[in-house]
Amino acid sequence: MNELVMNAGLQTLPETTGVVIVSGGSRGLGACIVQDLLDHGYFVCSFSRSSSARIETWQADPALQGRFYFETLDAGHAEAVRSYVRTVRDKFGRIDFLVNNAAIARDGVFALMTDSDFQQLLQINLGGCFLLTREVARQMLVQRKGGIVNISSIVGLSGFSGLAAYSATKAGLFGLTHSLARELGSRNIRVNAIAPGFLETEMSEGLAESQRKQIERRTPLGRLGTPEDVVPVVRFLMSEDSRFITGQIITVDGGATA
Amino acid sequence: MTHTTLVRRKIELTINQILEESGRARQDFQDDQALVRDIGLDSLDLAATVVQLEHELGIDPFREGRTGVQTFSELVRLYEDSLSG
Ligand SMILES: NC(=O)c1ccc[n+]([C@@H]2O[C@H](COP(=O)([O-])OP(=O)(O)OC[C@H]3O[C@@H](n4cnc5c(N)ncnc54)[C@H](OP(=O)(O)O)[C@@H]3O)[C@@H](O)[C@H]2O)c1
Repeated sequence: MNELVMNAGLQTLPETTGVVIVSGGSRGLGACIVQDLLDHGYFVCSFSRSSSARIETWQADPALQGRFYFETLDAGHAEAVRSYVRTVRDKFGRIDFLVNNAAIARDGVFALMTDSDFQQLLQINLGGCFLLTREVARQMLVQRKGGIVNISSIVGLSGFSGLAAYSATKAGLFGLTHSLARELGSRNIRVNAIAPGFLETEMSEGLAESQRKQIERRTPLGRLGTPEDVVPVVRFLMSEDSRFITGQIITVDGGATA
Repeated sequence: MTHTTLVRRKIELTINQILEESGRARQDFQDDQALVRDIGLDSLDLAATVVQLEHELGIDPFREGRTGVQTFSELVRLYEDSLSG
């Protein structure tokens, strides 16, 4: 990417937006967050293990030249994550926000899950989030400003049969959120989490029809969520409107856990 | 300027910049001054110092788990040793 274009872009960066990293932006909720932030004038950087048609569209869009940056990499690889964050910092000069969204789901009877299932869930959902958050927090400490939004899940709050290991990784994000909010608050870095209910994405495609019906029945608003239900909350947590909110979990589940 | 004084100078500049950005006065550092007790840095100031020095010098000795640095001169020596391999 042309440095001059980047620098020119940054000078005209509206006060209300900024440079944001969204992990796992190739599809599902992550892609929706990327689209929304691009629509609202943010400079968006993302990565996932593979690209997608949506990523290619953004990369090819002349209107987004210098405003969208993507790499393929695995969130569980420390060196790759470190070098990615360094590249973003060098290109854009700063990192204002981080949205920890990339994750995998593994469902099944806990007693029958494999060592590899456990290892992958821990390495990607928690480990990947630790690595990325550390690298971004380092930059935010120097800037003395920043916002971090962790995408968790209501299953980390109330559990779900068949998702015990996945739920544990999502619950882990709450501990990270509460503690980092305390650790980084004095430097004007806010850390919050969102707990969506079940969403219509590839991740939830494995739900049986009976499970889907049951979720709908137990949701006061009567349906599964969509990524579009969640993205305004991400943007709110990144905005000045939420300037006095940190260390909180915002549940977006149509009332399922009410 | 020798290698030693260059590194020392960079560290002085970095710490002073961090002090200034948070509304504190610049200082002249003495070798035996404790980073926390005498200079008044907290753990996040130290973290910001280390990150800023990584940007400028390309190394972060703390990534390899180095601990136990208490004084200004110990910090300078750690970077000098790491830079000289
Ligand atoms: N869907 C739901 O019902 C639901 C409910 C509550 C919360 N959530 C949470 O919402 C977030 C997004 O979920 P989703 O439904 O959008 O999932 P998704 O459709 O499966 O998308 C996951 C994204 O993360 C990326 N990713 C996965 N593993 C990665 C790795 N090791 N390194 C880099 N990128 C990786 C994927 O790309 P690659 O595979 O190409 O790497 C993809 O871009 C997750 O944190 C999830 O836990 C989802």
